[in-house]
Parts: sequence; structure tokens; C-alpha cells
Amino acid sequence: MGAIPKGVISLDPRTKMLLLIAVSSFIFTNTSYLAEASILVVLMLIAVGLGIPKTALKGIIIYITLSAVKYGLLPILPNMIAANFNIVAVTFRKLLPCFLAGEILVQTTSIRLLMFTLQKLHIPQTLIIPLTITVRYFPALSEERQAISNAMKMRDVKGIAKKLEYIYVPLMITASNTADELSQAITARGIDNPVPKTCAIDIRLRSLDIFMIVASISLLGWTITKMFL
Amino acid sequence: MIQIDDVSFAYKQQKKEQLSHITLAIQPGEFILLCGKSGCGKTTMTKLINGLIPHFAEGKYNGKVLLSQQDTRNLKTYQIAERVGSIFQNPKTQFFNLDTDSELAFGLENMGTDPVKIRTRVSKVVQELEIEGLLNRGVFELSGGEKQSLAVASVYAADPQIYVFDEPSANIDEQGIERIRQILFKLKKRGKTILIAEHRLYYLMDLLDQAVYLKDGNIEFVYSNKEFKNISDTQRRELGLRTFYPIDMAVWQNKKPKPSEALLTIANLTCCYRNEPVVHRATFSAAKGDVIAVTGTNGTGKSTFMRCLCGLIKESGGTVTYQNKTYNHKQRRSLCYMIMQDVVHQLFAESVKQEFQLLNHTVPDDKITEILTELDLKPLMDKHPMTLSGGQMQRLAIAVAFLSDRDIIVFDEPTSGLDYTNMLVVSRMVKKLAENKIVFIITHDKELVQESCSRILRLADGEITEVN
Repeated sequence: MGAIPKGVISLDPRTKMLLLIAVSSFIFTNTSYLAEASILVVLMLIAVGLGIPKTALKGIIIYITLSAVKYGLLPILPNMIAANFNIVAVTFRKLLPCFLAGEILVQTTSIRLLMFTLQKLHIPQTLIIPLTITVRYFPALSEERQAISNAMKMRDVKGIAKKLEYIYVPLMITASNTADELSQAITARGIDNPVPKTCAIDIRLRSLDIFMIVASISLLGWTITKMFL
Repeated sequence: MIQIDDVSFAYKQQKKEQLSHITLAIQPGEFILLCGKSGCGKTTMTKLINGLIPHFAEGKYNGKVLLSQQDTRNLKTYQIAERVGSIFQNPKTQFFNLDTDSELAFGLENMGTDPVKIRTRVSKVVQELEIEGLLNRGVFELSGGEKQSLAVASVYAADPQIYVFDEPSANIDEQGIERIRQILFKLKKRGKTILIAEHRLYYLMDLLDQAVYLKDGNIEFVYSNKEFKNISDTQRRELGLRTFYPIDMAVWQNKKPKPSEALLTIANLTCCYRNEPVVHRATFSAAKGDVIAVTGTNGTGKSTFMRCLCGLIKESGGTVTYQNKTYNHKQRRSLCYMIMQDVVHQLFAESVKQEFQLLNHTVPDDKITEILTELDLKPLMDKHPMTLSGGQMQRLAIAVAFLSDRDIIVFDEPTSGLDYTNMLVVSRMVKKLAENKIVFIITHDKELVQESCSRILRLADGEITEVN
């Protein structure tokens, strides 16, 4: 989180959003393992190109592990256990391409770019502002959580139940303070100005975007046709 | 320019008025200092000008504030934002974007400025304020001082006429303060109107045109620059104000030599922050009664160093020995205790009293009563810690440290944002803790160092040196 990585390629936020939608709808209707794996490989290449190789690597490792569990471990386990494991291993594996597409969008797009893109897509500002503040809020929250967990280590708080109990109150209090201070600061920067916002970054659809958009739309189209045939 | 006309304000659910019958006129280009003890209404007054009152903070609001003859009630928040730029106290929560470049452009983008103009303006601002080092970084990886410089720069990019600062120096080092001071000079020179609520005063003495002293929500005095400078030292302390001049460490009285008999020995300790070593082979020793200031510029790794000492971070090399026993990082957690900068994070119990029962040993009731009485917390014994004020929470955290069985206590910036009186309170408690413990204080506050520390460690470029 933080600085936007500089990759060898760059994509327009609109392309990334469409990609996320296309991948998600495809995954939910797909039954072929090969197709699923190919989508993941493509997404991984995009992630590497955009400058987030670590995320891509993490995704692929989890995918391989889960596949190994499904095809290597589950057949030799007793049925009772296998049935339970099966749901976890398969569902999570199937969702992985969606997660990766989501990560690609979130990690390589600055919040203001997201805001600007949503505005370009004619989403009303009353929806955009709360949405973007929510996105901004999570990293702040994770900082707070880190501090509280440090404090608990110092107080020698042990056991999950106790930790959950103790983290709750300070986190609620600081979270509400943080939300308050954040919205104050943002208000003071004139976020609710009704004029159309501009963006200092030059964003436009390049040839790679067009290619990705065509690919995404084809994927979407194929998914929809398959559903009705 | 700004006309505050008989304004009273009480926050929602609070009976007491935070400001009562305030009247003040501010001319264009004036530099106004708002000073006074903690809780006197300084911050509330800044909110009157930047429109957070009445547009954001709920409460009972009477009177009116005029910006160029227009009542802030009738202006929209974004209209006020175009005229008034705000820099807040907490650098953690004043950024909307997660990367610095976006933040610099954010104000202008909100106004719908042409992208080419934004880029020109931003690069000009970067050059003028000399913040090239801040470009293309994540805001969470910046140090406190860097965050505050970025905050001013991003407001400056949008170029409002009025600037409102709420304790900008609270979390930053001397260099950072000097940087802010230079920026303030530039703003003043350009004829900007500036209001600054602040505890640390020495860096503003040559800048201010008027100093407004607030007490319990009233304007008690308005001084001209000359009158303010003529306030005697005794008078200043009575007013609860911080030093007017930079502290000269030559008159440092608590200074103690390095102990001959070491209780705590740190040898070749190397600590990393996000896999980058920030402290190299630190070696020093300390004895009971030592109050050790840990100083160094923002972002040099003071906190990392102390977190490592407390066992929150695993060391990458070296040893920590206490009473001839070597402690690994997990063991150190029960040897040390840290009083964090944001004490909200470390109070967990349902009442002040129960906070002591969370210690891993039983504390007799009379001990609890004794310490709470001493720290002025006894009437609050059955209250929930989260309902206390910031200062009370801090004293409670210190009380817990006091009754803990830990032998090493670390304070992280205990006096950021504290007035003179409260700084003395902290200093007194530090000294009391040091009677049978070793105390470390991460701080930029030279007044506190002079008041309470017996030794100074300086961290620069990963090296620890003792200042003599």
C-alpha cells in the first residue's frame, strides 16, 4: 500500500475494472480447470507487467498448493474429511483469479484515479465520496490494529478470545476518531466541490487497453452465451 | 479579512462552552498565534475559521464568523476550502491519498484545475519548498516531519489566501520545525494570512504579529509581537507557555556520567525496519536511575530501536543483557514496558481500576489508590478509560507502568502537544519512575530533555552515540 508501483505496462482504471467484472463472471460459470488456470496465468502476467510481481507470485503459490491438495491429497483421504476439505480447497481456488484481478485494480490504482474514473463513468458524487473514503480507511485501520497488537504484546495478553475482547474497544474508539479526522481533513481540502474533478495524471485508453477491453468483453460475451445455451 | 463576532460554541453532548463570546478581527497578511494551556479552545478556534464549525462539528453555535464579509454559515465547505487551507495536528489522518504525488495534486483536482496547470504548479511547489525527497512515496512510509511538510505543501499547491495550522510541530523534530518555519516565512512574505494554534513557541517568535492568549474559552490577552516578547520568564511559566527561545543544552543540569556499574547492557544490537537495517551494532549500558533521552531526526529509527529493545521486533544481531542474564526478544516483553504515543491503543480494561488487574501480578488496592491519588485520577477510578481526556489517559498509562513489575520503561514522544504545565507533570512522573527503573524517552522535546533526562543518546545514520 502506498506508492503506486511503476511497471513496464500501465492500464487505464476502466480496463482494470472491466477485467475484474469479466474474470468474476467467467469464474462463477466456469467448470473447466484448464480455462481457470489459463485465466490465472494471464492475470499473473498482467500483475508482473504492472509492477506487482510479489502479489502474482503469492497467487500462483497458493493456487498450486490448493490444486495439489485437491488432486493429490484429497483422493487419498477418507471420504468424511475429504468432503469437508473439498469445499474449502475448491471454493478458495476458484475465487483466486477474482482476488488477483481485484488486487491488480487496488494496488496499481491511486485512490484519486479511482475517484476520477468513477466520475468519468457518470457515477454520482454522493456515491463516489463515501466509497473512496471507505477505501482510504482500511490502511488507516490496519495501522491502528498493528499498534494495538503491539500494546497487547507488552501487556502480555494471551489467547485468541482475550485478544479479540481487548482489541475491540480501543479499535472501535480509534476507528471512529480516525474516520472523523479523515473526513474533516478531506472536507477541508474541498472534496465536495461540485465542479468536475480533473486528474493530473494523463489517463486515456492506449492500444493495450483496447486489446484488454476487447478480450474482456469477449470473455463476458462468451460467458453469457454459454449461460443461455 | 476574518471577523469573528461574539462567537460561542459548545460541542454536542457537552455542557461546558469550549469558546465563549470570542470577538477578534484579523487583517489580511497578519500572522496570528493562538496560545494557551491544553484545552483552552485553541483548536476549536481554528475550526471556526476553516468552517469545520458549523459545517462539520455538531454543537451549539452562536455569533458569526465572516470571511471577506461572508458568513461561514452561508458558504459551502468547498468554497471555504478554496480560501482557507488547513494543516492538522495528526499527520496520520490528514491525507486522503496513499501516495504523495496524488496528495500534492488533490486540492487542485478537486477545484477542477486544468491537468497541465496542476503539473506545472506541483513541480513549482516541490521546488520552492524543497521537498523533492517526498515525491513518489507512500504516505505511510513517511516520518512525522515528512508527513507534516507534505501536508503544508499540498495545501500550498492549491494556494489559498488564509492558512490555519493546528499544532503542526506536535510530532516533528527540530529540523522539521525549522523547515516548517522557513515555509511559514515564505507564506508570510507572500502576504498570506496565517493562524497557528501551537504549544511550541520558540520557532514562531519572529513570525507572529499578534499572540492571542486563550484561557477557558475566553480571549484573556492579545499581545503585539513586542509585548509578547517582553513577557518575563516567570510570567511565561505562570501562563503555562513553553519556552520562547531555543533550548541551550549547555545549561543541562541533570546530566549524569555513564554508569560504572551497568545493569542493562546492549551489545552490537542491530534492528531492522521492513528488512532494512536502521540501527547498526548499537552498544551501550545503563543503570537504575538513568533517564535516557533517545534523540535523532524523524525517521532515523528511534522507534524501531526502542521497539526492538522492548521485544516487539526481533533483533537481527547482538544481545540485550539485564542483570547478567541475556534476554531474547520474547523475554524482553516482560522486562520492558512502553508508553505509546497514542495511549488509546494500550488501555484495555473496563474501568480505570481494572486496568491494574490486567498486570500479570496482583497489586494491592492501597498501592493503586496511592498512585491514582498522586496522578489526580482517583475520582475517575470507576470510569471507563476511554471516557477520559487525552492527558488523563496518558497519566493512567504511566500509572500502569509504575505498578508493573517491569524494570525498563520506554516513553514514545510523551510530550508532543503538551503545554508547559503538563510537560512538567510528565517530567515529574518520569523522575519518579526512574527511582527504581531505567527510563528511555524517545523525544524531540528539548525542554523535556533538559527538565528530566540524565543522559542523551543520539541516533544518526544507524549509529548510536552518547551526547556529552
